[in-house]
Amino acid sequence: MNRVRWTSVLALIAGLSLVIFFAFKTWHQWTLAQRINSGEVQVETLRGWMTLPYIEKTYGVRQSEIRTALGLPESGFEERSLKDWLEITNQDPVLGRRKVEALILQANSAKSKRSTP
Amino acid sequence: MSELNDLLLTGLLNHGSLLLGLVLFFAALGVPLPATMLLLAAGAFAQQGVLPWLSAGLIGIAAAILGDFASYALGRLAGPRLPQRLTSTAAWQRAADSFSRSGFWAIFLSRFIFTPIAFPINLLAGSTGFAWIRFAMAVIVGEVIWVILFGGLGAVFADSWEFLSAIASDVTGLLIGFLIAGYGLWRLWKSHHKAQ
Repeated sequence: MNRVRWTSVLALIAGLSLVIFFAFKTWHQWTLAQRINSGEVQVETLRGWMTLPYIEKTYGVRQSEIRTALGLPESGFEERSLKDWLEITNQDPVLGRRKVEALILQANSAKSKRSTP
Repeated sequence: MSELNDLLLTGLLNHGSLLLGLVLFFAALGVPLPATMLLLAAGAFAQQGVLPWLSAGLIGIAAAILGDFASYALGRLAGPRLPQRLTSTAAWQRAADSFSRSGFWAIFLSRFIFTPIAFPINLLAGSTGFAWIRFAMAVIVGEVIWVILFGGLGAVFADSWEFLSAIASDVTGLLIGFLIAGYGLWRLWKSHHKAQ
């Protein structure tokens, strides 16, 4: 086989490998999304990159309540992410997130109670 | 999600459009940064009222275009410094001719579909002396489409932008795979025809 054919076959194999790899990943993402939508898989609402002001704005939980629940200073370091806060204060990340998630659930149920006549 | 992604998302919340602009600029310069993911997140944050959408969009477009121009300039500077034994070969000349004919579409499509090859395309355009005005046209239209398309998708699907980001990167990988496999198949077919 000459050089042109070799490189062509190589390109074909490399391309097909990429197609198979990414097709599998896309399919996996898609099935995961279906399972999340059907409620079969639960996904955490909170992410480590979120800051306290962002959580306050998006989920309607006051920053002061989050700070109290996590035992953080009353103010300051607003730019710090939730993950950094939990790391700095030596808290278990799962437990810490659960505390904030409980506050979000509380805020949601209070909101729905207010909206029902 | 990786540490870098987390860092960039927290940065986007704290520094807004400035961080978005910096990431889009350096990504266009070839630094491996998750620009599309950040663009989707910026769209979602704008929808949630965390980020001003107009300034984020304008800064994003301007930064991506500037980054493209900078990498084109790098290619222009590097072009004459490439060894002559490479640039004087028939293969290089053929590649340069072919790029000057159909390079516009390669530049345009690599802005928002085949984004991982945008940087090498910019370098190629610069080093082969592709007309800067045609380069600028393809880049400006392409980047405007990219920012509006992905920022808009992030805003429309603000609740599921992370899923969208994962799907977008996988679909891009899939398309690049098809492109490489198609190229190999086309060359094989051509060499087979020649042999006959």
